[in-house]
Amino acid sequence: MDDQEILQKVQSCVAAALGRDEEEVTPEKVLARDLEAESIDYLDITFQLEKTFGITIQRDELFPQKIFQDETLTKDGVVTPAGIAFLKEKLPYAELGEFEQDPQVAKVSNIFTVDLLINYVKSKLAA
Amino acid sequence: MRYILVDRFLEIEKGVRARAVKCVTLGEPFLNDLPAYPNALVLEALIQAGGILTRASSDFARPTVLGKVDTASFAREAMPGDTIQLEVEILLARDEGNLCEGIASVNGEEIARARYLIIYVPADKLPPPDAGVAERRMRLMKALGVVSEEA
Repeated sequence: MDDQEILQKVQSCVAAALGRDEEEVTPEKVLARDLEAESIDYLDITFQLEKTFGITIQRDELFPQKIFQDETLTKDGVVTPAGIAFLKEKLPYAELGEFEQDPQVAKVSNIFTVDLLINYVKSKLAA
Repeated sequence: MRYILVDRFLEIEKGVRARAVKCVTLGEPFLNDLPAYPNALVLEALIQAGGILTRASSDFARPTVLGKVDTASFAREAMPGDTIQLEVEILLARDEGNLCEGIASVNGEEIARARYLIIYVPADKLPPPDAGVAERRMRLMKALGVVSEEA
């Protein structure tokens, strides 16, 4: 499956889960901030990706909730160095550069872009 | 669910699909001012059937709630006297819940279709159940053969 096909299918998955037009679902879009994804939508996107690409996504593999639950990973509303290391380990395909400059817990959702999903699917298909 | 909108299960294949019926009568409280059974309640019936199908996968050990309705479409409304056939299928199952699809039909004619997420909820996250409602619901499901007598 080439990159263009992966892009189109990811766009279709996200559009279906969020009730959006596929044209709106461009790689730079943040799922929550730009496309108004809510927590249940992340599970929906997981379902759509599994179905479309025939992949198995383990719980917390793509959207690791532990970052919000483990007290060693955040402190006073900020993601700790351990938390950053956790995110890098769980999401090696994520662009964390901007987030690392201001790692507020409230901004964790900004990591989850359409591009992250594309890179995630590529890594799964290549495995 | 305080209102049970599934009258009878005809078939449950755990973790896969179920067939059930909802009979619409003129005595429905929802028909006071309307000539037809509300589409939203047909959707609710599909969701309830999908919820029971999902709970059956864990032998009713794990409570469920509706996560979201992805899509829903309606061809026409059901009328008093109609027997609505509810066919629900689990498209994908995960530890968090199931992606379900349900089709409602009357006399072989599809009247509604929906795709929705039924998610498991830890029992301690739910409000305390109304004991009377829970007991009546379980008794009803035993009587209908959805749950074994031993449960």
